[in-house]
Amino acid sequence: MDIPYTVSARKDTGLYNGKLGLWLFLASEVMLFGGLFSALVLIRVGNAVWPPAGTPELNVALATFNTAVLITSSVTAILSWASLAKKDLGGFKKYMGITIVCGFIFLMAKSFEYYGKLSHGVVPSTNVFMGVYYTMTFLHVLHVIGGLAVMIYLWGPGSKMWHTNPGRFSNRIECTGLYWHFVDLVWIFLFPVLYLL
Amino acid sequence: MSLKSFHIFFVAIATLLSFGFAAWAWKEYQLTYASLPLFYLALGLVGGVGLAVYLIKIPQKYRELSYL
Repeated sequence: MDIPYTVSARKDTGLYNGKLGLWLFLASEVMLFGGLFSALVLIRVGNAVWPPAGTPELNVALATFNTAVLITSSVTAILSWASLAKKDLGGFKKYMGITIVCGFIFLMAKSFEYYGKLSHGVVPSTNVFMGVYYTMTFLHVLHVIGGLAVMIYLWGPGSKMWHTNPGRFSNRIECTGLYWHFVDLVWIFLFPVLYLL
Repeated sequence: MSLKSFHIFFVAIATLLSFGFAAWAWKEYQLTYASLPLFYLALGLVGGVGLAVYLIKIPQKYRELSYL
């Protein structure tokens, strides 16, 4: 028996199974990160001086670079899906490959930033700001790693599905793109809150 | 909501961030008169305008993709 609505949308929800599941997952993610952002706001209003005295300066230049990298990766993510809509598997591979490379560049820059902090003894227990910084950015890094794992699979062995079930494969790429956009959106909020304000 | 709709939302937020970054850089420049905030200011303005132009062109660029 075939599972219904894996390719076409169900009439009452307007969504296929994968997209419905993905949006429910993203709703839980909004609550997870929303809780952390709320905690940050409460900690911040409870401190007369923010960041607390003695907090080392964060690397704004590196974070700005990473922001540009993630925005670029979002554009290439939708371009990879658009390539499939044009039946262009080569275009998909190219744009998804660029998205993956952008993800790795982000991780390399982030690990460089972490190394700079940790090698100078700046750890999560340094003060409440650094605790919040490491918690939120590392949770975000874990989400980037998760997204990269899925994209590498779909770029490599997972792309065989294009030849057997192109509609379902295209839906998988859309769901992956939605997740990647969410991860990038979290960074768009993290960047000003932690590095600028 | 499809990836196309979410992409439009994302680019709109990124555009706001870019102009907000430019405003932050201007404030920093007024405090320090250093050259780096001026570079950030230019980056934020150029990035913001570029993203705004891209945002306007998204419906035409991805016309084969659904909004739903």
